[in-house]
Amino acid sequence: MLKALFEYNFLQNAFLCSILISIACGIIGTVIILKRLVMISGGISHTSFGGVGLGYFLGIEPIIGAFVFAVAAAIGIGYIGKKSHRNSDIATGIFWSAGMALGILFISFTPGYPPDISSYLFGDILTVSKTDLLLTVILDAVIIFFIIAFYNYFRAYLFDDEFAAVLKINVNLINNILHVIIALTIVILIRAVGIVLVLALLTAPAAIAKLFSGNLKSIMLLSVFISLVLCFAGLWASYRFNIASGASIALLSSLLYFAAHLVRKISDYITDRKMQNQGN
Amino acid sequence: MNYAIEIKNLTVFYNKTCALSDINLTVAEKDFLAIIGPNGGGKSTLVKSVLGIVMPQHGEIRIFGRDPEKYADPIGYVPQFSHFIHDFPISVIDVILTGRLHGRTGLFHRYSKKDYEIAESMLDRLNITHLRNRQISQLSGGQFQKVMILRALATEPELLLLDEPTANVDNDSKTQIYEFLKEINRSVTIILITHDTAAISSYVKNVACLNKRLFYHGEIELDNDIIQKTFGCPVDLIAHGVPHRVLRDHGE
Repeated sequence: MLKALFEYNFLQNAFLCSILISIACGIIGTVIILKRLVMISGGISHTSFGGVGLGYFLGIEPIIGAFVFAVAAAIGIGYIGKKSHRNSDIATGIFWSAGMALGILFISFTPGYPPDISSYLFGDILTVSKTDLLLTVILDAVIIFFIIAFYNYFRAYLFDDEFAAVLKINVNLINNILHVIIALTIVILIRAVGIVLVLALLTAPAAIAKLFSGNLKSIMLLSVFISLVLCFAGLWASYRFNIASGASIALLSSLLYFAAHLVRKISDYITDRKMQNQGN
Repeated sequence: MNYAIEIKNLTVFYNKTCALSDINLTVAEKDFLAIIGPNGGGKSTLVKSVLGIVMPQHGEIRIFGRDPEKYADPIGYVPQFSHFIHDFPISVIDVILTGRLHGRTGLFHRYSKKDYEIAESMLDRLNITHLRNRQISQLSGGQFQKVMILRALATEPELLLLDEPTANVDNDSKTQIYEFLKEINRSVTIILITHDTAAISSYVKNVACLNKRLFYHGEIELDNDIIQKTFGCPVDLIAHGVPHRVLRDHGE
C-alpha cells in the first residue's frame, strides 16, 4: 500500500483527509462525550441527509446542503434542549427521522437516475476531493483557534455552565458556537465515515482516551492520536479488502473501544490485587 | 439598614407550573439565612432567580440595592451536588481557578499569578492543600463540596448562595463546613438552602420556610416557641413535611 500511496492521488487525499478529520474529531469528540451530546450528534448527522437530498434536487453540491441542514438541526435541537433535557431527547428523535425522510423525498423528486447515496450514508474516504480537504483545513483551524483562545472559559463552561453564567461569561454564545462547530465537524466526517457510522469515530477515540487520562488537554490530544490510528487502519482495510471506509473505521473503532475497556478493567483489577496484598 | 437582597412580589413559572408565588424577602447585609422547605418547594428556584439563571415572570430583585444585571461583582454560588458531572477530567486547583474568571476578559486568557495565589490560599483555608492536583472524580463527597465552596469564594463575593452544601457529606466535614461558613459570614452575606436541622439551630441567624410561597421569615432568637417548634421536630418533618405545619403559629 505504501507504494500505491506515492503513486495514486486519491490515496494521498485519503491519507491527508485522515489526518485532518482526526484533529476535528478528537477535539470535538471529547467535548461530545463530556457534555453527553452523543445522541444529539447522531440526530444532527442524520438530519443532514435531508440536505444531501436537497443538494441533489437543486443541483448544488450535496455537502453544502448537508452543512445547512446540520447547522439548522444543531441550533434547533440546542434551542429546544435549553428548556428541558426530555424535550431535547424528543427533538433529537424527530429531527433524526425527519431529516432522513426529507432526504429520501428530495432524491425521489430528483429527475433522472437516482444518485448513489451510499457514499454519504456509509462514507468513502477514497473519493474525497481537494474541496473537501480545503473545507476540513478551514474547520480544523476554526476549532483549534476556538479551543486555544477560549480554553479557560470553555473548560469552565463544559464543567459547570451555570457557574460560568453566574460569572457573567457569555454561556449562550459559547453554546451556540459549540453546536455549530459540532455540526460542521459531523458534516466533514460524513465524507469519510458516512452519516450512519459517524458516531463511532466521533465517540470511540475520546471515550478510549478518557479511560486512560484525567486531564482535558491530554484527553483531546490522545483522542486525536487514536482517531488517526483508527482512520489509517480503516483506510488500509478499506483499500486492501475493498470495503466501504466508513464500515471499516466504525468497526475498528468499536473493537478498539471494547478492547480498551477490557484492558482498563484488567489493569484496575491488578492494581486492586496489589493494594490488597500490600495491605496484608 | 442596608439590604443584601430585596425581593418584591417575585413569581416564577416553569411553563405552566408555578414554582414561586408572590415572594417577598429581605436579607440584611452579613445575614446568615437558611431556607428550608420540602423538595420541589422552590428553594433552588429562588436562589437561581437571585443569580439570574432563572428569569422571573413577575416581581423585582435587588442585590445590594442594584438591578441584578447591573450588579457587576461576582456572586458566590455552590450548586447542588447532583448538578455536576462528577467524572469530568479536571483537577481541584483548576476548579477553584475557574472562580477567578470574569465575563469581560478576552481571548487567550491565562490565569495570573494573583489568581493562583488566591486559589492556593483557598486550599489552605479548609486544609485541603494536599488535594491540590487531585482529579475531582477521586474526591469524597465532603472533599468535593469543600472544593465547590472554595471555588465560590475564589470569586471574592459579598454574597454567597449555597444549595444543600452538606448533602452527601460525612459528619466531620459537615462541622468543618459550617464552622467555615460561620467564619466567612463575618464579611459575607450567606444564604443557605438546607435540610440540615442541626445546622439551623447552631449556625444560622435567620430562617425562611419556602413552599411555593414564603411562609415564615425571621430571626430565630426572637421567639423561643419557634425554635422549639422548628428544631424540636424530626428532620423528616422539615425535609419532607409541610413547613407551615411546623411553624403553624406564624403560618399563612
